[in-house]
Amino acid sequence: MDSNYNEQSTPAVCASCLGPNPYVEMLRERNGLECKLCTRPFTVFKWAPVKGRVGSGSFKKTVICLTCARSKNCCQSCMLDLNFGIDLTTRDQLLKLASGNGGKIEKTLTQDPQNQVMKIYKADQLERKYAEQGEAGVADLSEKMDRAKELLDGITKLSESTSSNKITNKKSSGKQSTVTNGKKMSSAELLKLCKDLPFNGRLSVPPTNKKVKSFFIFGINDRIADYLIKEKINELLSEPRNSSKKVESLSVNHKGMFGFIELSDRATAERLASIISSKQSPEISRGNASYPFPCLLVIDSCPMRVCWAGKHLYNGGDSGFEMANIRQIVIRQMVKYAEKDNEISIKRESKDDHSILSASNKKRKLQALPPPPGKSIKYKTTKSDYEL
Amino acid sequence: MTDSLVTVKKSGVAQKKVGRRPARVQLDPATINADSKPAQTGQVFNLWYSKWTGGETNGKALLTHSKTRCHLKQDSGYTNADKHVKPDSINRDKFICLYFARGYCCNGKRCEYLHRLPCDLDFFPPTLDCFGREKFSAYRDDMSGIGSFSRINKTLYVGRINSLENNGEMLIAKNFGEFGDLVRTRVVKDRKIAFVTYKLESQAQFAKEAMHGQSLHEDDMNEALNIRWANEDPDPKAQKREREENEMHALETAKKLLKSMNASEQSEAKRQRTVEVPSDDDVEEEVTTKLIEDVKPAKPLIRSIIKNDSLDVFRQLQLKRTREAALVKKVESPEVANGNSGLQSIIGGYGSSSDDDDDDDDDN
Repeated sequence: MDSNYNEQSTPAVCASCLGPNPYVEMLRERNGLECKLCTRPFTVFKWAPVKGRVGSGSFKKTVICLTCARSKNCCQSCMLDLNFGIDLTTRDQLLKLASGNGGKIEKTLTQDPQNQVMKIYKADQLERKYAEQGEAGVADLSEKMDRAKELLDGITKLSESTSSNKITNKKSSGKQSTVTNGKKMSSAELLKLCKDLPFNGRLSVPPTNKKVKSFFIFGINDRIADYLIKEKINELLSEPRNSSKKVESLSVNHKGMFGFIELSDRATAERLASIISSKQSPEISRGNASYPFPCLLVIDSCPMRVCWAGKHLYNGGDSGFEMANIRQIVIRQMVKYAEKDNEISIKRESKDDHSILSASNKKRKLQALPPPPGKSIKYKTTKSDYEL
Repeated sequence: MTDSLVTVKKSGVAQKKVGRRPARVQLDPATINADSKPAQTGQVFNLWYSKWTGGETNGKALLTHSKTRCHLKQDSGYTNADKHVKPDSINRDKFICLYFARGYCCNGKRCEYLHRLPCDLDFFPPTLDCFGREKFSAYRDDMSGIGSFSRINKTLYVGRINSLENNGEMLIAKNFGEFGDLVRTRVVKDRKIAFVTYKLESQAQFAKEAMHGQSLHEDDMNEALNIRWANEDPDPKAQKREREENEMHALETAKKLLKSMNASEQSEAKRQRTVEVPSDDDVEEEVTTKLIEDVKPAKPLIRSIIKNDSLDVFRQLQLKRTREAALVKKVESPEVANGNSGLQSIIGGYGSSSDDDDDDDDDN
């Protein structure tokens, strides 16, 4: 074994683990623990990153052996990559991206043996290999960084060029995704399923039952996280971020593309309803007429519809078959309401007392800027997402 | 109490600082009997682990309803650990209090651990969980316990739910949403189980401890939820989504890395310039220091281990030593001799490989 790069004398630890002090006092224990990766005993080092500090996180120690750390190029203590300070899964993902689809590099890094004997055997083999290589096996640091930078540059360029392609791919692939196993539901069954899902509800008229303080949302895209909806509603209610006080609970059924929001009290619920519906149709709400459909809510450029929930929230089954059926209804409804919105906006434009010029001006404005949520034009463009 | 909380939360990162309020003492210290053994569940009591072993269940107690529960809004607050974590800054070395998560920390503000939810400004090393406990390379067979460092798992399995009738989804979301940002929940009514996915792994860790042995209705003493780590979702759609999310995450980190690398190069260049032109006034130096500070979070990626560089230094020292030894033979001045002995002590074990061979020969 090479004495310069020796397990007995120096741990391979990253700068952040060592702490700010250039003089670190270390405790060494030969064969102190078993390596968490290869289960062989190894020399454990223990030190305090900040001297004299008490309490949590005041000591660090090495948890894997030098051979394992070297094979993964990670810190012996925190197991972050030595060059970048990022975790190994992300690093391997990046290497995979860098090497294209037929990635060779990451295979050797991620496929670890599961069996203990194999683990030990593999580690021994690696150790022998490194001992033979000696110093030559360790690449020069600056060289490494240059190569890494090249790789990163390539990856970011690649992602920028392919990101637009990817989105279009997703759209096309989404069209084939509904599978109902060849079975069909009878209309009676469907009705029963959708008993508590008010697809034809509205937001502008609060329900007479004063106990109702929840909303029904549908059209929720799979990539919208629950907390994003929560944050959006807090934002609409102009509450500080992360204060979950106003939103009592939020449950989303991603397979059925619908969900329910429960607010803390009826007053806030009514406030939220008026905020969302005023965004939907400023002209209508000013007049006496109310918007007769569920209102549009756009989160992260994904459109969804909101209306008051009924007395009972959905309590039906949640099998894949049922959810697929509900999902199809949701999609159909989303398309229907989008078309109705179009009709309304066209009617409104023709009925409007404004001159043609101002109307066209308005239209141009809407097209130039990213349209605010609630404007039908935005929805028209994203409608194709919902055709399956 | 909660109102004061909201007013302080005006800053962008609300979760990070929980106001100026000290952490609440969750459990009266007087009620704790330090000598008490846990209820007898086995035949032999192990003093070291304070656990029972032997018997039918090998000392394992049945899962019963937890006596205490963490109420975040009431209980969280600053502790001694917050002295080392600046508000709204990245936290790398302080951990969350495990007892706080379980609802029975009797130290209150004197606790050396943080009494709050983990947030996206906390960076816990992948080998430790948010409570500072060591992870393992593989999960336990029953997926309980601290978890594994080989997979980033943000999803929990929730079992032993008594009833999911009457809006089980809402109840799950309400209870688990308290302990972090939920990304998705999945309730399987037929089997009375649920899966909850969090935005951060640390939040999943926190929720796992906080909800273990609790119930969905707080007064329901018959229910004791069994929380475990979730296995990978077998649904191909979910797998695809996860893959895409991972790729996105990797790309984001790549961009960040590139940015910080460029910034560090610039700052390096700037520093060199300041060295070259000492007449430049303090303004420029300030700029450089700022730049360096900006790069600080990504510091480990610039200078890494004691590696080739330091070893090279040692080798140079070695060369110097041999040269000086030659000099000593010629001149034999006392100063050089002193310097030589000093060097020897520094070099210690760091001999070159050729030197080593010589030593081996001597031994033989």
